[in-house]
Amino acid sequence: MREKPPESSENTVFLNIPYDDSFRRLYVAYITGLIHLGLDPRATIEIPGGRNRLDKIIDLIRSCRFSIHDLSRVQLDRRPPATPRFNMPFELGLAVASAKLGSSPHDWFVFESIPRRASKSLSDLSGTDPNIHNGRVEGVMRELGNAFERQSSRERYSVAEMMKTYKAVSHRIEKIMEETRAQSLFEAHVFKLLCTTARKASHAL
Amino acid sequence: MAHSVTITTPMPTWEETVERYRLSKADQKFVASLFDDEKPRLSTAYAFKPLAAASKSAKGGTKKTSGVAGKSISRARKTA
Repeated sequence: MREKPPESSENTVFLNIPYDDSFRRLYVAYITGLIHLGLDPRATIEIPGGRNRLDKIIDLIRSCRFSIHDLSRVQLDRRPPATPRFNMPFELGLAVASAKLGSSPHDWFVFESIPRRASKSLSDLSGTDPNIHNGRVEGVMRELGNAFERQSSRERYSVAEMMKTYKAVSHRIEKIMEETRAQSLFEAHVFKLLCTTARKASHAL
Repeated sequence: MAHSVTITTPMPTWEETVERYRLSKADQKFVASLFDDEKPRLSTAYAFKPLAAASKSAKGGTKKTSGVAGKSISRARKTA
């Protein structure tokens, strides 16, 4: 790792999640839930292509105060050649190293859909309790609220209020997709518009 | 029980959000326009359709078939 850490912001959260079709609901849930809590999600889809991608991922993780690592898609990707997905556990390892060895504070969270599976798939995590979201949008909101507490105005940060932001954004995704002519939700411009739309929706509540 | 952290940073303002995401004037206008009608019609809800189906309906095309009953093009190719 390089000596000088990038500038870190107190409310940034590195979001380490699978970018696949079946994960779109939870992807939108993570973005809207974090924004609702006043946090600032960051993701590798913001990183432009090209050389030194790994360096840029490390810089992004080190620039974030927190990170969330969703290990709920540990099964084999059936597209040939069938392989497990190593990106999420790999980036979790980078975040743990950043927390242990870096000079800036970094808190990391593991999210899963099935209880006790992470202790089998990644036994090095023994002693770390993952946040179990059960593969549901409400579950993601609940666990985000458990991980990131806000003392003031608890009602404002309830799951019910977070769901209002989620619904306000999901009702506008079709227009965002039309505007950006995007092929997928996992594109940098769409990510930016989802984040800002969520902020606007959250402010409107 | 999983650990938790207490967030004390203030909620970012809209101006800070625009700056953070380097939102262009066009994007600012677009995001604002999304909230012009306070309650969007339910029919505008994103359906989270499978991507293939979304792409097909967007193009207005029809599904290509292999010509072999019960077999997609890729299956027909594999078994040819």
